[in-house]
Amino acid sequence: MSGQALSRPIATSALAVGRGVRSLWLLALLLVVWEVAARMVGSLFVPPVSQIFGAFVDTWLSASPSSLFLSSQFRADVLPSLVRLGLGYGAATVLGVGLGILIGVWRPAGAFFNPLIRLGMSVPVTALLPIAIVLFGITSGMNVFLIALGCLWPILINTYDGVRGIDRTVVTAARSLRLTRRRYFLRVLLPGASPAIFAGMRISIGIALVLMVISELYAATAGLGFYIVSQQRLFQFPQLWSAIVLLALLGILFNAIFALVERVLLRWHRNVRPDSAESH
Amino acid sequence: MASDVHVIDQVEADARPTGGPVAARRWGPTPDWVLGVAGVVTMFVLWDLVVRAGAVSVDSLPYPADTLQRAGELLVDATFLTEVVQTLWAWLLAMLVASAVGIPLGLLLGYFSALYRPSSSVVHAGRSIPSSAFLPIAILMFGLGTQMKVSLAIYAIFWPILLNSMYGVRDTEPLMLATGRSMGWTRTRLLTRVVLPSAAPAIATGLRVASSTALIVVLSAELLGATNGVGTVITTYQQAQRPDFVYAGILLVGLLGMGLYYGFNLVERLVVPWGQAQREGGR
Amino acid sequence: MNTRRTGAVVALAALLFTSACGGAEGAADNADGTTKVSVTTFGCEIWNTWAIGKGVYSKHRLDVELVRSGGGSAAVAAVLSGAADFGYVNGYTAINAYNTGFPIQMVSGVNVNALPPAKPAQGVFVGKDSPIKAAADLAGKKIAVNEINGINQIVTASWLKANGVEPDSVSFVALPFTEQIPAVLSGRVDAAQLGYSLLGNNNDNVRSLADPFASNDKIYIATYVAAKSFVGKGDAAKRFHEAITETAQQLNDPANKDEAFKLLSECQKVPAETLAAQPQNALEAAVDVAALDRMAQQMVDLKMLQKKPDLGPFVTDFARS
Repeated sequence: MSGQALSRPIATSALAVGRGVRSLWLLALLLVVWEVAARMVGSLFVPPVSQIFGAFVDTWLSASPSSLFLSSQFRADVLPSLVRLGLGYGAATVLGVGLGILIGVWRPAGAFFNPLIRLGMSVPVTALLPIAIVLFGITSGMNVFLIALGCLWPILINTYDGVRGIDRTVVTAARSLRLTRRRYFLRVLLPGASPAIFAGMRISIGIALVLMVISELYAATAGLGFYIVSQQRLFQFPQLWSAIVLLALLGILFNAIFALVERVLLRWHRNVRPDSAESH
Repeated sequence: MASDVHVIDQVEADARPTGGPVAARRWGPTPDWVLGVAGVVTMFVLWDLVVRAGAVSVDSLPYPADTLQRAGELLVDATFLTEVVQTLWAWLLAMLVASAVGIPLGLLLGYFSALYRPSSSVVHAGRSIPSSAFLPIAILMFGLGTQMKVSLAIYAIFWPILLNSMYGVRDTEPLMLATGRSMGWTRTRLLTRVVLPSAAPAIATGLRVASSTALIVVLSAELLGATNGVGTVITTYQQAQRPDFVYAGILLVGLLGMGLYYGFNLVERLVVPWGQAQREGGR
Repeated sequence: MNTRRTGAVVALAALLFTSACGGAEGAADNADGTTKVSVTTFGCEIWNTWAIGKGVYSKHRLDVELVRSGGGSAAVAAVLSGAADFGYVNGYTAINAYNTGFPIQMVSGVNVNALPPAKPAQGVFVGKDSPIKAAADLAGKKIAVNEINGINQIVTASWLKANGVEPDSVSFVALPFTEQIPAVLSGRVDAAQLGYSLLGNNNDNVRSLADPFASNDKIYIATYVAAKSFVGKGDAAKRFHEAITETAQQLNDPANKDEAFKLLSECQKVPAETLAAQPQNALEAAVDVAALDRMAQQMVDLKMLQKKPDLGPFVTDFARS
């Protein structure tokens, strides 16, 4: 193996490290400030970062490779949460994109549903918690329903906007080509609306996390939100914060997945932003 | 839809200014607002039928007519209105604090490119945490009053406001900056004449998103354990097992949110009329 | 990860604490020689309506202001931040908070469980026709309690354990008291643990398996804690304990029952006869450290505490029995 071949990956990784340092120094600095401030103030509610990370490792990780290095606590509380999130979010995406295209394409339907959608968006889903319990009982169905309902609106409204915002010249061109309905849908409508659809889905993933936690604060027997409340009652603040850190990591992970999918699927689109600015 | 051509016509029609008269001139079909009203009426009729058919017990879903009547009663109820004011006050405080900190900070971080990348990684970490996760700890730190609601709402809306301000500055046309510099403009002048106007639409988008979010967070905090605000009225009726009042409250809260949304859109259109393009996409 | 949020929360905490809670620092002496103290409350407590209505607090030169708290942990937070002087918490929460390292002390007991031969005040309620007849039938079932890891859950879990049911096999569900009985009746949960006084008009629709509180030893259901710094400053905490002691004596006197329920009914807006018919928890102002110790041991047995803390320094000398 020649020296040159070896030095190249080293140079690349050095570059990557440099990039990492340039973009992460502020985060690291703030963590240090947190650590020092928390130690100086001695607040029991906001423990030092080192304690939180200690609790994080103890609570969520394990040394056993057979469980993917995740602790039994992780399996007991995080997995149910993630399943609910996935089901609710999935249902919202299917419904939101489907209905959004329908009302975007068929103008009277759009006008018919518009006030109802605006009203639905404005009702805090939390207000529907007691009703969801009546409808679904104390089951995961209740959490899934709330997550799906909260995520539905942004996906629906963005799909609708996306369909309606398709470039007129493209539409005219499609008309002059006399595309079949199927081809029009697959070649013009979906690609044209997809940036907006993705924007809606991205907003919704933030909402899904919010509702996952909220719907588990109350009338749940497991889940990340349930874990947070139970640790609060026990005054276990490092553990409570470790759950918040876990939520942050989940949020970052979901956003990264989205950025990747968007970059791959929407390569052709000129102004795909690396990140959208909307979240709860 | 009847055919592809028909579909395309519909989409094309949308590019025109919306509103009854235009649509009526082309096709002679029903104007939008009539359809909208029909939609609302249909919802109420369906709701009524569901209850009448006994699909859901009246104890959990009241008749729409009762709900509307209760909504009317709540609207003239002084206690209810006081709580609405409490909610709006918390909303306003959160908006003021978050924008007073978020906008200047965002402009600063967006303007200096050495700060932009490191601060975006901080922002992305921070905004990944749902504000609801802080509810238990916020109750401990701030009690059950306005402070708790406001601090949660500030946390939730600080990020979109900050991020949008950062983007707004970053997206300033380099050509315009260069032109300004070649004319010998000072930094202040560049900032007020070029950077701010070009960032304003993005900032407005951030504020609009924040305004809906702040209201929802404040209401959620009230519903999950606060001592004042319109959300507590709903929980009180919930506990008194008066679903008619509960649904009336939810309906009014929804209308309040709609009102804020449309109000914000209007203000935005008046203050930042050049920001039309940015208005698309967001919710 | 979430550094910036510290920025937000720490800065905000500092800002809001100084602006809003700064005024409540310590006990302030009034011109008339009374001391102004704030006491957290969950609603209408019978000793508060009595002590305020009959002037017991003012006799002990205390000018009491009641502030609402959302629960025991919030009351502890209020005491620590100076937003309140005396926090109303159950004994388990108090032990837990002390064990966490919060600088608090117990200044008074108030409520203990009603032990036989007194009428049970609490119950584990199931539907009237439920097949669940005894503790053993609850294995693997859902039980509603108002707070996860709260006093109702601890006591119920201890009761289950004493009856041979592993508490881990039961799911505890947090539901507000008002929604527990509807949840039992509709089958959404299998049982609920709450006081008889919270049954509303559902007395005939449910039956109780047992009073889990009565099958335990003495349990401090309600106590008051104060910040250590507050206890060390002046004698307001001692006077507060004495006021509670005197109130408890008066309330335990059968001759005062009618008047006590009349005062309570004005606060709760519930007819006095209804209140008088409801079984009550017993009143005890002195703190029995041995009983607290047993409570701590229960929490260790339920794996809620890693090891039993030394409760000696926790209870102020004047409050001990």
